[in-house]
Amino acid sequence: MQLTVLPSAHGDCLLLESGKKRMLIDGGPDHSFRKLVLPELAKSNDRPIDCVYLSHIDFDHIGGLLVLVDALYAWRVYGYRKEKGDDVGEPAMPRPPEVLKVWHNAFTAQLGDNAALVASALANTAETLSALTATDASTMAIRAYHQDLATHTGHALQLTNRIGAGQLGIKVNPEYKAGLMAFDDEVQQPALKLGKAKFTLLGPTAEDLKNLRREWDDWLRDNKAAVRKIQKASRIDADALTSSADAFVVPLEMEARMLAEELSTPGLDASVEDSLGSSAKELGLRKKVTPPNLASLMFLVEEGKQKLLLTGDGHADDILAGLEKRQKLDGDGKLHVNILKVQHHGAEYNMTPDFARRITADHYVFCGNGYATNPELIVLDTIVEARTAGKFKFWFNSTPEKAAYSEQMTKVQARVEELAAATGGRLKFEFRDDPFRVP
Amino acid sequence: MSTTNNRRKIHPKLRMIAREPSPEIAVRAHRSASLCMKAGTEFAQPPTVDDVLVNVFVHTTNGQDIRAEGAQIRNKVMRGQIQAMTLPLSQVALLAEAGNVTHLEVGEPLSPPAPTVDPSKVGPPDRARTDFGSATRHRFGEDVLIGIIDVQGFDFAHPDFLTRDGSTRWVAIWDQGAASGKPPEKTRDFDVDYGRELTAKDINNALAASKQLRVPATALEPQSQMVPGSHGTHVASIAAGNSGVCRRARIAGVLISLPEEDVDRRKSFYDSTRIAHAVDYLVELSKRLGAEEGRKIPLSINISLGTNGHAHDASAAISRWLDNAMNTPGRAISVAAGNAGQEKAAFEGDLGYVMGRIHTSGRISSRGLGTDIEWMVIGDGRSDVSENELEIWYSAQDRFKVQLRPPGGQWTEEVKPGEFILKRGLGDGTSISIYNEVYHPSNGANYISIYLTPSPDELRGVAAGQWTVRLSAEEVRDGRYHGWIERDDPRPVGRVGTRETWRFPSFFSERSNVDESSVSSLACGMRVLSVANLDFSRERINVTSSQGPTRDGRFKPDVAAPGTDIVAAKGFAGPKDLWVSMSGTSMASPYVCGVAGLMMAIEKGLTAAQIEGIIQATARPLPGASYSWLNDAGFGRIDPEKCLLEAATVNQRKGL
Repeated sequence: MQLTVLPSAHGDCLLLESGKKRMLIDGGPDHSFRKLVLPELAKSNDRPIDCVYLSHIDFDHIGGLLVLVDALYAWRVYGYRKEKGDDVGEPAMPRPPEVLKVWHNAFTAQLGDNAALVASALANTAETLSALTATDASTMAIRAYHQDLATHTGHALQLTNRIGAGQLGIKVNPEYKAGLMAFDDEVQQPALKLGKAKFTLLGPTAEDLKNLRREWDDWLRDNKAAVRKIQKASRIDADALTSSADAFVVPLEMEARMLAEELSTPGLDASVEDSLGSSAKELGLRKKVTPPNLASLMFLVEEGKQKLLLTGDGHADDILAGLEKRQKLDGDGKLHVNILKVQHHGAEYNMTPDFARRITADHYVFCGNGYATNPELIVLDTIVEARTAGKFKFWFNSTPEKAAYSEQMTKVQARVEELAAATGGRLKFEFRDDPFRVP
Repeated sequence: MSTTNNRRKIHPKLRMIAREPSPEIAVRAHRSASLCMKAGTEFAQPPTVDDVLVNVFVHTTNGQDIRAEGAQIRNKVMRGQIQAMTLPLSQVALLAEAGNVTHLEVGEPLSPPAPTVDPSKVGPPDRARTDFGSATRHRFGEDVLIGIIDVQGFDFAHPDFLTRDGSTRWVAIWDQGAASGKPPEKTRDFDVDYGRELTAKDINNALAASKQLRVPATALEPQSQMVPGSHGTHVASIAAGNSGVCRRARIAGVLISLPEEDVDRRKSFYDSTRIAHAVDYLVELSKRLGAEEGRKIPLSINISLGTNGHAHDASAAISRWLDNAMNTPGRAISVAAGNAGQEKAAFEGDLGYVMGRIHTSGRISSRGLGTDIEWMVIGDGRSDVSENELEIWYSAQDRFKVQLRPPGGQWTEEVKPGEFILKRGLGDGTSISIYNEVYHPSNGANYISIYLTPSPDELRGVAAGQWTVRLSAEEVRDGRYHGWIERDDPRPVGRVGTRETWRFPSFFSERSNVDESSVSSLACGMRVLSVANLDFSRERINVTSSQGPTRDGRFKPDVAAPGTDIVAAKGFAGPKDLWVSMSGTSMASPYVCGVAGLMMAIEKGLTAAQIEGIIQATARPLPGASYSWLNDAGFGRIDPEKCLLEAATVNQRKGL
């Protein structure tokens, strides 16, 4: 099998080929997909993408896939209307390859009938919170967190809407009978394949998804109660409202403030702590990983002696637990792979020294361009520290985007140079901003 | 006639706009529903009045073509003595010179519908709720055309609109916002060159191809708006879906180009002339269908959009237009009364009440006395980028002077009847215009219009706080006055720098607000069925439903129909998410539209006036009410069974 890394700003986007079959792994954010990935894929639009694997619904993974689906629609509509004789111009986007199948856990499948309610409650919450005027960092973080979540869930629903029910002829999780892809000890796992490559699902577990669902159900209930409480607590004298225009806006802001205090959205505390930003980076704090990230689809891919570990934005402990359950670790609880797609763009919360020691690779692929200071220097240090012997290589997929991010990448480059020197040349590295194949 | 006199033919608002310099005019094109930049006008270059197109109603003496040499008239639709058209703003004066032109009015902005949407997933509607009368007699409106004038797109591929063999029940959709494609067929009186007409053939081909291509049919024949959970789809489903009232009627839609995104505003029109065009399109369509099939096809139209401007007495050009169209038997039109019924906040932060405080009225009892109207404009902490507009109408017998005081500022001088202040800057970016006009050409009444215009620099809103309007009487015989605020609905426009900018409505203070006569002026027409929102399960009128009567004391709304928690088709949301529940007069009106359709299916010769009479006469009072008209419920809740019985016997006479 052959892994090609596609330039994708701060997101993940990879192409895996085995024999004549190929798989697109995530899409990165929309802009890099449109500009860099789609033209690349269009070069081979005469043969399909057999499977698109979307690890989870964050924009730096799903954004590009929404563009891909848009392009597929645009070209079918164009073909239809042109044949019909309508005066239509060719779509602005190059023609992508057809897509036969998608692996992903749709937000609607994860949350059932509550998905739309959660999405709508998130949108309302985000809108209410938008009345908050800039004050302290933590309030602003609450606002930003909800705005992001609302955006992500909105995108997830949009994707479901466009590829659900066999539209575009795309099958969703056919091996799981269109249901959720999750690992369950008690159930025989279906065979997952791409050409000769065999896929072992490491996560999420059925338990993880149940917890996730419960967490959102609870949130929905609490959120409703909070909104009701605020409405009830603050009945006001309508006369007072009209005494000045100021009085009109103040209640909006007060409502936002009260709601901000009441909210206990999954992943919120961590996000707020994070934004308050102690400069010391801590490794492996699982509670700081957002719910969508924790629900990432993760795979070990094997073909002959080749091994590839695909981790999405998952957490070290969950990857290890998955490998253990699927009996992929050796007697010492270790695994060596040819390629590790380092989880979550090299963020510190998703990495542990234990993981770095037990899971080793010839090639470590980091997808991140400095956005949110990923990849983190401490993650590089941790891996290098764990590698007391053997040669290995770091690959950085770092499409330059904004000067603000390049500051982090300059630091990364300096640190990697130091580390390479310290290992006496065992560590090699490459920074790339074009499509490249990992040997 | 002299040029000065001819300028008097132009409505003051249009006079004010036409004299605006660049770049103000570009900003106004951005804000105004009835103005639009010419295609190809770039943002970068400062436009002039020549680059701006305006939609106007032109009143003529004779309904003949207007002779104005060099006038670039487009999209001309003629009905009676009125013509609705588009022309360059710079040519308004030219048109006024024409001999047969009596006066020109700019199109009134339309307010987007604002129903309450329940986000929960719901199952299909209960067909029993719209199952009434004798199916053998009304045949579910088989020969009737239901015309829906609405926004957000029509999901024609929704199963609620398909026949058993999978073909469509839509006969046509005119997408007024489509950038390319073939506009509707021209006739002598109907000559438009914008938008695209989707035919039944287009739709059926798309439905068939959709199965092969695995792409929704609505993507193959796209509309300019296709909003998931679309308003237009829901409304059409209530009036004429397979689960709605007229289950076998043909359906036609007109998609009004109501811009979602602010950046599109200057490129589109969304004013009452577009409604006029839509109505005439549907009329032409029903005639065409009738001619093809050699039988009469009655037409029942629904409009779940509103407008707050003008005199609320059926004298607005669009009201006269609708009334004229309804003179022909076999036509009816239902209009949502509006959702401006709430006048107090139900809880802190509740914006609903702002929507409600749009009307003021009172009486000045004698000469020398006056009254102060408190007009609240929002802005602190946010930038309010909307223009605020207030119209006060009073009797032709009276003479009022008007003064305006900005928040914390000084009174202007008195503006007497016949006088005006044009765009006077206040130093803080706001400019004010005041017109005190006598004898409005449409209704003979006197009226005062006041405009607060924000600085063209979008970051500076109108000065916030309480603006006070002082009316004082020079001459009183009647003394009554009514004022309405014309405004956008509140919504955030986005972040600019560190500030959240909002498009905020202005509203009356609680003291000045008078909680009646808030029915949308579109629903005040003589021959329109004006519909209130009945909360069916609670057997009461929904608190948000607008109240009557009209300014001239007529009984609107006519009737209440179920409009609360109404389940109907959810458009453009994919095949697994087919239904949605919404509340508002927008949902009540199409129910009545459907009932009117069934009535005409039974008796094709019914006139709009007869239908209105039957609906009023058969309406049942709500618990605790009598048969008297009420300002929120009208004559009570509609009784479809009785309406159909009456329709069947309306022309039966017994000689004695």
